[in-house]
Amino acid sequence: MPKLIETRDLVTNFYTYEGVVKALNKVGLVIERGTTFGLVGESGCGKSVTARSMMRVVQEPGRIEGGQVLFYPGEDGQEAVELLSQSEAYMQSLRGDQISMIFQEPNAALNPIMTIGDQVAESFLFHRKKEMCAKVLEDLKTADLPWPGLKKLLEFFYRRAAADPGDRLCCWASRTPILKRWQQRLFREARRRSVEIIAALDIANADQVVDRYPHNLSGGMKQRILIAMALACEPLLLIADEATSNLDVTIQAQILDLLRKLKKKSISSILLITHDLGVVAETCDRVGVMYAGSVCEVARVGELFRNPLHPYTRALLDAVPKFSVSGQLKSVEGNVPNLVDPPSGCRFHPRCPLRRKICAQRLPELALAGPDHLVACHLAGGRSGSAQVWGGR
Amino acid sequence: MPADMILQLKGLKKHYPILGGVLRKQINTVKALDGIDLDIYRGECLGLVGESGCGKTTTGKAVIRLHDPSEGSIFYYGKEHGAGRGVDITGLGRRALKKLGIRGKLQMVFQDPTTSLNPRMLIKNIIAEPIRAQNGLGARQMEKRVAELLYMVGLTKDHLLRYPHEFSGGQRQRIAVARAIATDPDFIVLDEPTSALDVSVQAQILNLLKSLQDSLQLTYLFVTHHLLVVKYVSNRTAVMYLGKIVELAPTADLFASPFHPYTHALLSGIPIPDVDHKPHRIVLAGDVPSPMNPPSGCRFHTRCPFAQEVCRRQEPVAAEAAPGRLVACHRWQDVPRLVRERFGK
Amino acid sequence: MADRHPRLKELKFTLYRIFRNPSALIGFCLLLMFGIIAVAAPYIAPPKYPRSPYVMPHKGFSPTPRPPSRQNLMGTTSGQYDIFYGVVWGTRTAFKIGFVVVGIAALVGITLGLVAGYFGSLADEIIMRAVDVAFAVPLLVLTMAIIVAFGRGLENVMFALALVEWRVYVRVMRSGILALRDMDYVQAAKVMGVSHVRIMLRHLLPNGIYPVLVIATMDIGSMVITAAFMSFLGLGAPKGYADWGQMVALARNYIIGPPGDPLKYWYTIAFPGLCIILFVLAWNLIGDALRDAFDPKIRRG
Repeated sequence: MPKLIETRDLVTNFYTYEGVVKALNKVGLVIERGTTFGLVGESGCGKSVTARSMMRVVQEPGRIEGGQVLFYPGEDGQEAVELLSQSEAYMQSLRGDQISMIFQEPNAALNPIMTIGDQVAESFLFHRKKEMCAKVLEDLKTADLPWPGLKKLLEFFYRRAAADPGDRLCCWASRTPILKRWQQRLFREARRRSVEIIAALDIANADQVVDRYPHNLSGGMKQRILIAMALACEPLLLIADEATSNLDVTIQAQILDLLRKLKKKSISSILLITHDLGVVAETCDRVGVMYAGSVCEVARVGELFRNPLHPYTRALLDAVPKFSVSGQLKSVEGNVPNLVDPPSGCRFHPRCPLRRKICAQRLPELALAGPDHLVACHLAGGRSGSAQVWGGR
Repeated sequence: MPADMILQLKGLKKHYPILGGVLRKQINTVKALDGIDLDIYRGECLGLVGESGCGKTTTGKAVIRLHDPSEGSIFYYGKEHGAGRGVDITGLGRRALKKLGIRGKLQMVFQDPTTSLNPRMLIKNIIAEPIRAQNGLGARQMEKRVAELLYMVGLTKDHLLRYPHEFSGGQRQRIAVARAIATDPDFIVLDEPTSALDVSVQAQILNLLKSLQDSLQLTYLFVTHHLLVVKYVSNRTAVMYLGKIVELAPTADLFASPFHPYTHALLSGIPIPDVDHKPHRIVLAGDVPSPMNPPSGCRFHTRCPFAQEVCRRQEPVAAEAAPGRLVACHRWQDVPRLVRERFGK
Repeated sequence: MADRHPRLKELKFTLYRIFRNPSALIGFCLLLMFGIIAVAAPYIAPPKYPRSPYVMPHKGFSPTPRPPSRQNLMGTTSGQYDIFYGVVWGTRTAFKIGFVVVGIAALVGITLGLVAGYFGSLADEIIMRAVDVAFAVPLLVLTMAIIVAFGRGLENVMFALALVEWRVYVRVMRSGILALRDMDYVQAAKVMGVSHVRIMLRHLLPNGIYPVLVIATMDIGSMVITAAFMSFLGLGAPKGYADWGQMVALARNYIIGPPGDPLKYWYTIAFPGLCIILFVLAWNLIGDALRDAFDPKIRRG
């Protein structure tokens, strides 16, 4: 499958009082077109920072200090755009259009004093103005207007706006009383599209929902609206950052169901960031496991769950409560390291049950350990602890 | 199952008035708890599950008298009060609770250790505080006791003179546990003790809680929304929906053969970390109704796939479906069959 | 690092946060300067009457100010009071006004705010309505009433200011406590049977006092301004008292010189005026830096 987005040796650091937090340590990931990629790991392992670095929205005091983010907008996945060297304006046109993001906290992501419809329409008005103006222009041809001058005037504005969405004259007209009403048809179009996209997400009476305010809606509904906003411009990549973690089981089931359906319908890829291995098992095609700022294992979901090679992945799978097993839970001893002063070599080695001398000395690199299965470990082998060094690395 | 009771809730209700208008008249009530009957036995771990807003945390807080219930009563059967002699602690004030020595016996561990530990207190003082509040100890004895408590939860003396922010989430929760067991309690409410923690740390804390339960003969009320965690730690599980208990059963039975349709939906909704598992998911329509005006009859009927006319009209009473199993559903006898037919489980 | 006491580390961190802000540095330098002047006042400007050092010495009663000379470093103001002496000893007065007024007001305000916020219901209702009443009292009228009742003097002005200023602290403290009251650690303390007083002192006060500290810092400056204003109106310190406001009041007729030479008596207004401005500025800069440093959102960023 052609690539969609790729990170190479991504390094992001946070400059804090305590020191430099080395949040990302040469993260390399490939997300392919039309797949759901799950990124799992514990809090502070850098999974959110990876996604934010991809979109270049790392919060203060973080800085992206190295590596590349390659974006392949074309169907065939050939031509790459290096996002880290692009201008901020380019990134803005990309965010919400070709790459969009859903956050964990729906309450924080929705503006409480704007109606749902306006918030969804905002995305259209920002990214799809040109297209919508053309559409309105089309409609105007058959429209019945009280006097012909008005039609001329409207056509004039829409033609200018369709040619260049940032047209000075149109901008000026949108701020002038009375004249600013030229946009009405544009707003109506945006609203129509909002209703359409909201209805597509299994929300009953979408035309009423668009007029409500966020506080009128329940948590699950808000999360759906966020998904609607993210999907408004049919992005190539949808980043869902813990999108279901705060929801109840029954609501989470609804949202996961929805994401699954969406994936079937459209080809958009999803980057699902979560700490819940259950969610990953049910929705993802490929999984990347992160620990303390580096990727330890990437594989297809079935392969990862059946044949985990990295000791951390195994420990994680053992620590999760399961439906069918009972008794003592196996826990991973120790705590997540402080990333100001991360362990030398492999960052997992202080907690690793299989550690060798080399683990403390050299950072293992991601290497192919099987068909479509990458592992970053000096040792990889049988489950029973009879680890064998493979590939002489 | 141990036969002697430690706590008994009878018809517990908690209504929050909603005031409105200029005159601050009561215009509505939020029925957070609407008649909870629950017996908790000594030495068990009772799981209390449900979705957010169902009243499970309110129940937990009411049991240890952090909230005052609006109606109903709570009986505490302490060892020192003699077997079978309960004390009605519902109406007891702060001073009375302390005087009877009950305050230190009922403790709680909160969900998020970042907010449950005072950020401006040293660990030493955080753990010493409950001991100081109950019965003062001498400085040297106190030091010894605090160090001992830290050791019990897997921390060391080096951690005494630090602030909470210097610890990781798991360590903080250990500190919170140490504080809860400082007064040698009988009964601890665990309010989502692991949901703010990572998976690998969650197992550590659950194992710690289990071993403490054995060594200190504790009784737990484990409040959580995470069903699989309950499966690991609790002996019996109660499922709550909109301020009511809909099903109560030994944990193993509940997971093997649930009766209430809501329990079915909850269980089927858990994402399973196993790729070979094919979920037969019962996706419930809609959201939990507002506890301000709960649906008539059975509160679950608005989302229940098997609701009938009787469910809308009449509120089901808890029936003993099997020894030790209670279920509040009109159609509990048919539900397993219906689920099988409809969802092919 | 580990062997040092954690409280020291915490203090160091707080100081780091404060001094990362350059304006705080300027503020503290200014304040240090004023502090040194205040402490060393008897050496910088030895008092003429050791019994009452705050009384400005004056030679003669001529209303025309005299320019700076060897004898009077900053000249004299109307009434022949020595400006240099007034400025130096006025520093002490300024600190006195700021600390006493804000000290009393903050103490009362914090206590009432804590009680109102923590207990809520009836206590809250009573205290907050009292605050509402206090907010309705005009400062000037109250001061005049007090001066009329108790006589003219700096103490009475300070008393009047404190009587009005506490209301702000109650509101700020209460709103902070309301947010903290439902924190889990307060609930935990309740479950442990910790007494109300201890919960307020150990849990609520240390976490909720920061906004009050910020306001208090800025208030020290503004109290000095208000007191100077009172003195200017003739409600404050008695004539001849070393007080910046008083000195500005004395210079009232000489702010603009005779026609043709408007800046003739610049020294009468410039020195005390500058002192007031710098003093207030110092406290405001510090207050601003504290606000940033105590912002909980960026505590460990």
